[in-house]
Amino acid sequence: MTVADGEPLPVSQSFGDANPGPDREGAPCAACGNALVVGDSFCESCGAPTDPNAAVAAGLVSSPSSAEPKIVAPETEGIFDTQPNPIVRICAECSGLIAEDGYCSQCGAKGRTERDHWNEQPVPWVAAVCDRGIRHHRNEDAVALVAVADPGSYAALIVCDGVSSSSNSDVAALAAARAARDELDSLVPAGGASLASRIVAITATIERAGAAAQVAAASTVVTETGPGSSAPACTFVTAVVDEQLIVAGWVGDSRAYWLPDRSAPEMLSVDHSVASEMIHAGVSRSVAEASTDAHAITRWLGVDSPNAVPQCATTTVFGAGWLLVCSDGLWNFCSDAIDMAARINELSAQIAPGDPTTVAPLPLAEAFTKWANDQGGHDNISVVLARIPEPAR
Amino acid sequence: MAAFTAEVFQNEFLPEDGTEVHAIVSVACSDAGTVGLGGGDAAEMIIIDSSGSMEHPNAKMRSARQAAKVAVDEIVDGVWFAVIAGSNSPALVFPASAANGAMVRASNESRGEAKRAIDRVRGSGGTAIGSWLNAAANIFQGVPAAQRHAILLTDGKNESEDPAVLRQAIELSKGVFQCDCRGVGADWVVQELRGISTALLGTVGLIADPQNMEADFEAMMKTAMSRGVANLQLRVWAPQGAEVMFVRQVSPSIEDITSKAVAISPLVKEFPTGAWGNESREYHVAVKVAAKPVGAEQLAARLQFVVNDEVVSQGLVKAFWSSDEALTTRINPAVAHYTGQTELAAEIQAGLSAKAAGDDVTATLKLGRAAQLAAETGNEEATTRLKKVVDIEDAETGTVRLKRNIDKLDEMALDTASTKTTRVR
Repeated sequence: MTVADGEPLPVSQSFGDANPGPDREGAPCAACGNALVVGDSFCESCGAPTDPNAAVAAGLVSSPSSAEPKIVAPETEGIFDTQPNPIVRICAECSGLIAEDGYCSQCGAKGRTERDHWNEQPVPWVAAVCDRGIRHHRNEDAVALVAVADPGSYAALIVCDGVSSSSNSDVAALAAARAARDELDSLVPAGGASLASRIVAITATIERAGAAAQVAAASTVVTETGPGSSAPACTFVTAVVDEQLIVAGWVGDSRAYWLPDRSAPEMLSVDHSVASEMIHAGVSRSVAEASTDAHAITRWLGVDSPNAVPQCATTTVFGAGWLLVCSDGLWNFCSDAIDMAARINELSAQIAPGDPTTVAPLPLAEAFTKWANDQGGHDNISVVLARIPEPAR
Repeated sequence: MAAFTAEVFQNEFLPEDGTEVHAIVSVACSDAGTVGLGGGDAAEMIIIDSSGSMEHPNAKMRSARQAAKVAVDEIVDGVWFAVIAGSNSPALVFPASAANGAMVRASNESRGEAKRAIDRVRGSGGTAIGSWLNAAANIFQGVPAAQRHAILLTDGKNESEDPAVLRQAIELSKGVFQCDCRGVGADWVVQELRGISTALLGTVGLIADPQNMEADFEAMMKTAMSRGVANLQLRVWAPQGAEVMFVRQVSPSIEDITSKAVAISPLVKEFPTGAWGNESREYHVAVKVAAKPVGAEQLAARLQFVVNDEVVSQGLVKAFWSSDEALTTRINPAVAHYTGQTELAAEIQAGLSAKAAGDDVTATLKLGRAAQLAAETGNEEATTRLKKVVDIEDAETGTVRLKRNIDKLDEMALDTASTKTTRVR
């Protein structure tokens, strides 16, 4: 969630005058052994979570895998599991080496951790990028994917966006996204069943996924306490592709867009936000989304959630196109479906000037992320894309 | 084995487009041991002025002999040492002959011999300090010591040689030995000795009354003997495209060491800090980095303390761009304190030199600002010394009047002590 500029840094991440003051030194980091700063939730040196429970919940230590054989599990499943020290050792800005102290030995940029920026591409037609952005000090977004190899046959795209005014929302978001993924992973694509029964089945699974995500978010360990800090919370959105059906389910203001190559683009989700309520009341989208508390959400996942049951919407695919699921770190810069479609066409044309329809989802998601950062990177950015092929005749 | 700890004090928050990052790094050494134990031998030299003026009054020469003997007694066994008496040219007081190399190792016997030789020193002739330094550098280089230190005493101005000789001698001595300088009486030139001590990583001090010389020499030699770390380097890494604006020692005294930088790689500069005992010092490092967008974090400098090419302690200086003015406008108290103290030293020195040049208007302004800064930074010693030279009418506004008929020694005391700083309260 975006909070206006000038938001105070959470107590846990504040920088004192002395670094590190002797009175602020805590136990050694389990990942790298350097002394932790008391109250911090990530290690100053390597970026690993300081709380072992949080680390497990976040999947940063080890989490059981539940991949079904028939579903292609994300090949990056173990992204936080296998590396005790999740710092990326090559600088994202200048390609210099990141030194032991966590900063680039050439340009001094802070070394990115795997949590700060990662991507997943379980199959060639589905990919996700999750990025810290520029202005936020940590990545509270999370993504998760389920996909089968056959393009367009079955996939579930998931984004959770941690509420930045709540504590440990980065942990909650990742736990929620992965819990939802594990439910959506169990969905048996009902070949031959009627459209109506498939919609019912998918909707029921999305509701179970939302419930699992809610449990995960609500049980996130609270390690931060401070003024203005509330219980861990996050948004939830998924879009499930089942042949020519797309069903979206959401809680909060993370979005799903269907951007077909040849017909009108549409936003599948309707934000649970103050702005959305204003639009519903007749205010124009641009005015509503620019208002001061536009980004205040009216529904979320977490222990204090007013309503955690996902709202669902369905659409039918008649031609090739892009299914996009994203957080407000992206859509803030191109909210309207028409603008989003224009942006995707522009970026596709930049990547593959010859034939934009051949662009793969991963480079496109990375390009989208870079574009959002170029616009200011005001918030964490999640971009999840599935390339839906022309339906078989 | 000596242990070092470094701690960085800074406000890492920069406003949008902010580029200057300031930090105070405090470094402390413990378990330094004694001189010569840090690997490699140590060498000591005592250089006393034996010009004719030292005999007028002869209490100066008498105290110098006594002080030199007391200092010799402090030299620990095994340390190479020699004693020079300087006038128009340097004379080797001890050892008597240069036949076996011009330094000998300290022992009961050699110390006794040195003290008897010192007793025979009498004053005559002029003052040619450059020639004394040249001799010291030559003699020092005759022994395989990793750590070399000298005490230099004079009572007069360097008037018996071309000033260029002194300048060249200082250049030649840089990196060869460290030198603590002392002036006795009111006829020496503070600027001249400060030039030597600053270049040779030492201190400068006024001995107003010859009676105090003995205690001062004893303390200086004790300090020198407690320095078990032969040489500590401050290594400053700054990112590509950044510029190290300055590196200053700010505690216990102000010494700008920016120009002592030795580039050891495109991004790393090394600054010598000399020998260390159990003590702590503070450095003010300022780096100019390229501005980054609000929200970005960047390492502005790695400050490493290095002994024999081994990093013994490290501190990080960071930059964090923010749009929160409450964060970005806050000046770190340590940075503010030492910035004030540095300005205080500069104002005192500029004020005194304007006064010496007869420019009372500038002197009043500068010393007024100094009085204001001394009050603001809580430097009571500086305030006390200032009060002997000016009448402070209003410290808050920096309003002062130059005193008439002031004692030259008070003025010199103010000058020599101008670089002494107080710690952050």
